[in-house]
Amino acid sequence: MAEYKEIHGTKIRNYTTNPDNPITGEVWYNGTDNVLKFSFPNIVGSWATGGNVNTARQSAGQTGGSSNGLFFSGSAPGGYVGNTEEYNGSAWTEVNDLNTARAYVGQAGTPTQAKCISGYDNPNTAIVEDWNGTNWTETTDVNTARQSMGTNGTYTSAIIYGGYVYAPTTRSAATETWNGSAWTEVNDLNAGRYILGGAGADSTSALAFGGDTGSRVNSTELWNGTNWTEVNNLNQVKSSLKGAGATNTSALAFGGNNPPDTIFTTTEEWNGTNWTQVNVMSTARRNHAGSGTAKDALATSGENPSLTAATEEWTINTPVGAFSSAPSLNTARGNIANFGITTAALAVGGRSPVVGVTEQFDGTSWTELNDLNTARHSSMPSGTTTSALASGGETATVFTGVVEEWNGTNWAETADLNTTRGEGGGAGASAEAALVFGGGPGNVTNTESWNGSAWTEVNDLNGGMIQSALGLGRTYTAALAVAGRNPPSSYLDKTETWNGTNWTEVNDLNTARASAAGQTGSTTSAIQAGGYTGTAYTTANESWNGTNWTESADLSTARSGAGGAGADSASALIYGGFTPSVTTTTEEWSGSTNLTKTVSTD
Amino acid sequence: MAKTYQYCVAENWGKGFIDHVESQRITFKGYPGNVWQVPAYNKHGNLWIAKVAGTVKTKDEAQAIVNAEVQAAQAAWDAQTDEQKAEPNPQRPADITLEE
Repeated sequence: MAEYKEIHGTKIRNYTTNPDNPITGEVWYNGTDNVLKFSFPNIVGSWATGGNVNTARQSAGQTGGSSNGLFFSGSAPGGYVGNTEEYNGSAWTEVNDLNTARAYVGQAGTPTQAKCISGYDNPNTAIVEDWNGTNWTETTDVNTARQSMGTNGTYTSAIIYGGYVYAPTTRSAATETWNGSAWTEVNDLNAGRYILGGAGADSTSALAFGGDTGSRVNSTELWNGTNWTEVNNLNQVKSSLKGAGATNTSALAFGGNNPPDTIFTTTEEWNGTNWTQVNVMSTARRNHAGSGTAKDALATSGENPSLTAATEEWTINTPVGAFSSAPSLNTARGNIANFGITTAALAVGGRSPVVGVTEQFDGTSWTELNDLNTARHSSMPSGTTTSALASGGETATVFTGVVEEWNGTNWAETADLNTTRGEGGGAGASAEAALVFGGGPGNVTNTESWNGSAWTEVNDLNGGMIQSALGLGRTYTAALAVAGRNPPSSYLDKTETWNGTNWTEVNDLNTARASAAGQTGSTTSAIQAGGYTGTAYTTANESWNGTNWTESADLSTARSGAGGAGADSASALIYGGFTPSVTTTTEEWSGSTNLTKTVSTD
Repeated sequence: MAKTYQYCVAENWGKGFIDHVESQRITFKGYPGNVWQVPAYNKHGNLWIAKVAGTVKTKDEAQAIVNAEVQAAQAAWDAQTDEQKAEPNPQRPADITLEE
């Protein structure tokens, strides 16, 4: 077998923590946590509409995924049906019916080789039918006729668990496995339940989740081929849901309800340990059909609460980046002036109350440094952690034109702005070269340029922008003015770019907002995170590629007036802000398509 | 109070009605009567309504359409025999209240 070095060209390297820019598939040793880590593509799943079925129904069986499926049985107006439909990735076609019409069945196999197991035919039926791609044929019955059971597996290795049985009526815990020729009773679920979700590989691997044990539950049990073991719960209590998953360590749970009045669009993903809520379906549904894997699934028909013919396809696709938690500020505040990059950032001033506090982030923690001379918030920022300007802003009572210069240790007053203002934008590489634009009071369009000794008025913005994102720009000859507000209540999505001489309107943000975090990038690569939309604090985050804004993964905490720092859209820091109360929380953005994961040694 | 959502009526034609990119950009909610909820004041919501030739409805108009559909489903459930109602699975359709 080839060694790691032969494949990748290097040995596994030791790092104190993690490498700065790991590539996909790179493995390293993290000396702080004493674990092997690797870089893994960060991809997310989403639902999109698929073709509508010909016969809307509830509690049908199904096999297959987004590009091919088999949909059979169910309860439709007029009674239980044996209708079968095939899906080719865009449209459903009616094919030959089951021999025994029924609903609430079990399912296993593929669209070309499937099993329709037991179910309800007033009352329950033990009949099992096999699909060979053309016709259904009766085969060996299950031992216990049941309906609304959990089910998964292949044509030759399947498992059914739980369900509703009669004489006496009960929520069953019974489990049966299929070995290709016979059904065998094996160990029961810990809790009898029906209308549950199920997923897994075959008769040796299953996951039973949600359902009704006498009341709706979120409990989950894992089958290892011999026994059921209780594992972590779904986030939501629900029944009449469906599952998809090719193993019992990677699965989806989607839709369902919690009577009397909630039908869910929600989707949860199981990673072998926990359930996590992921992107939702567009149509809430219960008693739908579901099948596939955690990466490619199909949700079909069901009740909403009337019958729906709509289907949805789940696929894993777009890399989007992600926020993760980072060390918190020492002082909670909003309208922070922000400087620097992800590993070397300043948080200066802010409110509430108004403070002159300066904190520096070194990539590991925030440290308090010397305060501004004039406590204020919403100053326009330019520069880095070693050379910066905090221009203008608002004290507790008034807007100010005061400008202070940071030398890495202390703030010192320098020449005031020509136009007293705050809540505008700033850009610049250092305390010797800066740009200030927009802001208030009112709706200022003025732009001023700083050469290290004096402010000079240059060409105005095309439109006034107060509470813009405190600017984006690493130099005073290339800046972005993004979003903001046109008082009293018009929230802006516009973007203007500065070329050293003029402002030019370019493509808009997708979500209009004010007070997003600024200084998170440059004119060619940036993000805009958070802000206030006029109705709500937002988690929205968008990435700028020099031409367009694209929606990316959201912040965890909706916030406005946060500080930001980052060289480009690859990495950034978002800190503090209003949620609406002031917060110390910090989030770190990785625009990489990769996430860092730990190699399991268990 | 400013609204959070906007509503339209559009028939779900199936594949491509909502694609994966749209699904990742905004959250859709489909209701009975081909009523769809998307975020208000959102460019992608507006673009999607235009794409599907949706007829924009006020929240009250959308609620009335949903109510009619739910009431029809409730009437169908109520018309079942007692035996059918006693079956363990189907529940009587509940009312749906749209959000502002």
